[in-house]
Amino acid sequence: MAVNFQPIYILASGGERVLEQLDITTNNISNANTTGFKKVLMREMSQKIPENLPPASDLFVFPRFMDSPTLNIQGSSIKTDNPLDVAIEGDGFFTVETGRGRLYTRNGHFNISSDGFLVTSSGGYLLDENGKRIKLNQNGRIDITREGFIYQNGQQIGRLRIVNLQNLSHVGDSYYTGQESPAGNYRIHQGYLENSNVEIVKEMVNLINSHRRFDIYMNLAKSLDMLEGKVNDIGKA
Amino acid sequence: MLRALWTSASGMTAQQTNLDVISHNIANVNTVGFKRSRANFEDLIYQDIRDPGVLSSTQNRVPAGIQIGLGVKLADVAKIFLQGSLIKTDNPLDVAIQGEGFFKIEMPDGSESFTRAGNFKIDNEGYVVTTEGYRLSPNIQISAPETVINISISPNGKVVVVRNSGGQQTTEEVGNIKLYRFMNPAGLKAIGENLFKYTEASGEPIEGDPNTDGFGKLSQGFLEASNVNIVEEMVNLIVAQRAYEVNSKGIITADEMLRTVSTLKS
Repeated sequence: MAVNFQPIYILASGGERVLEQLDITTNNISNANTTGFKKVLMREMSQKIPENLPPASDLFVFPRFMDSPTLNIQGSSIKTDNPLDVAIEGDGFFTVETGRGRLYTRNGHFNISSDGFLVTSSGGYLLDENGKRIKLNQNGRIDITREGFIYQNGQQIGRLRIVNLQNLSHVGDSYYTGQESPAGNYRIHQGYLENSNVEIVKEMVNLINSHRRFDIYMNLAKSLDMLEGKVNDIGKA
Repeated sequence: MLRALWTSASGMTAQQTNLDVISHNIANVNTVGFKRSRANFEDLIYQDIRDPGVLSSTQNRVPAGIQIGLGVKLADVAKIFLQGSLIKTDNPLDVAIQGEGFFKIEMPDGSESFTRAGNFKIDNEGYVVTTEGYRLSPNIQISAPETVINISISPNGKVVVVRNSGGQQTTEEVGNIKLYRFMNPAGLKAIGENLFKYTEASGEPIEGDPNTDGFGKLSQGFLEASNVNIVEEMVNLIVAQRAYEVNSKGIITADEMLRTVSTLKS
């Protein structure tokens, strides 16, 4: 047969990749204002189907989804003047004890729980250097230094536990997981929050890219279909 | 259907809430004792799409998982209890708090609420009340208001009236204004009319005298202006509106791609 069916499947799987790319782009866009959000990239790869190996003319390579790394670069800072809003400049994540185990966040929008602990907005407990929850006093001004030490009324309460993460992945609710490694290069800014690192221009370009890429694949699929139609017509009266 | 549709929709909903919060702040730019709010967002759950047994081009297996996020949600709308600037009014019953603390107000149903708006009045029975007529608690009653020629409120909350009865000037101490503070003021619940109620999250009120133990001091003849910064709110408004637009583009793109799919087969 002159026309092979395989290309149309390759185009279809290319189309699927575009849809995944669209999903990731729209997720980045919808989190363009989410405190401490780190944007997600999509990496694709080509994959040979082993059954297709020889002869060389049948060598088809499928586009596959390889992985979705999180781009851990600094977001811009927004001034909120709230004493319990904290931004990290540089490396590192805050360590949080949640109902789902130990998780990490860059979202420094903290609260005091009714029993006096420093918590995230979803109620997870912030941990100090020794892995203990941070208990604050009944009242008094809270100061957080550049190094992450928390002072209340001039008394040291503890130091925020800041760690670096390898193999970062998103959990949702502004949390991340990954493998801990010590963080050295960071500064804490009280009264600021770190904005999402999503660049809206790049995401718009991705959106346009996905759209056009999809159109090209689908047009090619259509042309292939027409070609097949013509082949079928050969020999007809 | 495409996940992208709902992801973008969640983004639009979030920005809509953001706009609501910002416009509420702008509407209250001249409200005495008003504290601005800020909407905070969190990302939604992630869908883990693993492709088991996938070989990379170098014949190694792919270690990292594949995650697709499903959008954004509102985490909280936090009040920011930052000091507003003081406006001089010279009205003896206008009291501003410089520093931490709230006035306690007795509601008609007997419950308590708290406010930073110190524009008080005297009602027909001589009680110090808010503009809505709710009494300041602990109650301060000034009897025979027609004889009062001066009311003075000291920075630590002492209320003294000067009376002129039959040509004689006498001073009389009528009460003390107390202040209340909270472990986590961001957890207070706004109920309108400049009033707040305490919640589980804010903790119980802690009573104290003004100008002691970290409580703010009182300034008579001043009012605390709203802490809304109009320039900042305008910038936030622009950001929210543009973010809303870009999210809608995500929906349009997904829709057009679906149309392409549906016209694939003629």
